[in-house]
Formats: sequence, structure tokens, C-alpha cells
Amino acid sequence: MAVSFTNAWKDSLKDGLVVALRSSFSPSVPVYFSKKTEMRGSQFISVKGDFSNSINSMQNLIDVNFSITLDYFMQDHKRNDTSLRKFFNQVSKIEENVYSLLDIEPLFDVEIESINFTDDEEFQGYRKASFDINVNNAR
Amino acid sequence: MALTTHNIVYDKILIPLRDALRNEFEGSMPVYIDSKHKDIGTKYLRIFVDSQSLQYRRAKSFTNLYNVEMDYVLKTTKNDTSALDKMYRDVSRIETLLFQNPHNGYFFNQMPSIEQNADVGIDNALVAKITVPVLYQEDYERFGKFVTSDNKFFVTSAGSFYIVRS
Repeated sequence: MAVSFTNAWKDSLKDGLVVALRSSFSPSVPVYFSKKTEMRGSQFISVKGDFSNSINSMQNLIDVNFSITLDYFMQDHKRNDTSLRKFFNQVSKIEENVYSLLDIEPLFDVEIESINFTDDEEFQGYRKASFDINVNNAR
Repeated sequence: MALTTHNIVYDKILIPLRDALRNEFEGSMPVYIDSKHKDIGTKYLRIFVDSQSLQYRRAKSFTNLYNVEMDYVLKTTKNDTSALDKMYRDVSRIETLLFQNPHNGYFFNQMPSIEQNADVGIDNALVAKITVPVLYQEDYERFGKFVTSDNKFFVTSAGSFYIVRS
């Protein structure tokens, strides 16, 4: 008999994160989960799964750490205070959404370990905030 | 229900720092926020947050360490003592201002580190890179799902959960 299992990346992680962000940002900022980053307009959020590792396995629970990279892109040709304020406003909004909404699930523990702010080299004229997110989930 | 959020990096970290520096130099030195250098005179200060990292996580708050980078640029074709003295003087003044910590709401994690004569790819210029680690704590809203007395989630006919503030 085949083993009964949960699609951990999809059910426990991807759906929760993407749905939480889409509920706050769509349709003005597309949010998608993908292996490769593709340009989706003047602003978009790309989420990638990096790796997972099991901390320990108990009798009834699998305790797993998921490592995720979330990249927020914003086109900024003006490069003035208004556009910069908008960029960092979206960054804070993502940050607080991740903490507030993912904490709804009692079996989630989320940490945004770091965020790096750069001018993206692949997409010229875009600012980029790269979030390094760690999610612990027991199932 | 929309979440209430604050623009932490811009409004809480960069703007108080920029305004304190502008007040100190009273128009004698342009101070601007950006990740790139701009051609705005013979002397200017560029400030930006390169990165942030999580320091503490509590039930309804997080504390981040913000890595603030400042580039002091003095354009000069002279490579003599007087030009260097001018740069050292301005950088010492910035360092003293940071030491006095006149801002409310956040804390310098430690004193700034300064790299004199840094190379940032600008010709005929003396550059000092000043790195300031800043701690800031943000409280955030926390929510929970509405659970019925038999410990099942309350779901509407449309399949939505009720979400309540915890």
C-alpha cells in the first residue's frame, strides 16, 4: 500500500506564503513561485524554494526547516525620494505580512533572517530587495 | 482587513539620519539617500541601507540590525595635506554627531567604522566610507484563525476562514 503523505512544499509552505502575499498585493504586484525569475511588470515578487532539512523526526511529527528566497523587484527610473519611499514601503509591507499572516498557522515559525537591497544586474533600472526567509513547520 | 504597516527603513532609519546630517551641515554639504552616486557638487554625502538582519524575534515584535552605509565624497584634483585635512575634519564631525545619538526610536548598535581613502570608482575624489549599524524594533499585528468549540476551524460557505486578532 502506498504511503500516505503531505506535499510539504506546496501545502505547508508555497500555498500559505503566496496566498498571504497575493491577498495583500495582487493584482498591482504579481506574486509567483518559480524556479526562474521572470519580469512581470514594473513591480513583482518572485519566490523560490532553496532547500529544506529535517531537524528531527518524532513519532507523529516531521519537523522541517524550509529555506526560501523572496525577491521583490521595483522599476525605478526616477530614483528620487518618492520612488525610494515607495520601494521601502513595499519592503516593510512584505516583511510585516510574512510575520503577521504566516503566524496564523500555529505550526509555522517564520523568520526573515536578512534582506539585501541592491540595484538588480539582470533587470536594468530595477531595485531589488532579496529576502532570506526561514520557515519551520511541523506536520 | 488590511494590515497596518510602517515604512521602517525609509521613515524610521534613513530620514531621521539624513535630517540630522542636513541640520548639522546647514546646506554646506548635500546629503541624499540612494544606492548610487550622483554628480551633485564638489562635496556630498550619500547614505543608504545595504542590508538588514534579524537579531531578536519575540511573540509580536522583531528587532533588526540595519547596515547603514555612508559615502563622504570630496572632489578635488589636489592630493595634498589640506584636502585630506578637510575630509578628516568633516568625517570627524559626522562621527561626533552619530556619537551624540540625537535620534529617538532607534539605537546605534555600535560606533561607526570608517574607511578612509576608499575606492568607489570616482576619479579625482577623496572618499570615506562610514558604516553604521542601527538597531530598530518593530511591533507587528498578530492574528489567529477562529476555532469552534470542537477545535475545528470555522469556515464560511465560500471556503474562507475567519481571522481574528490574537
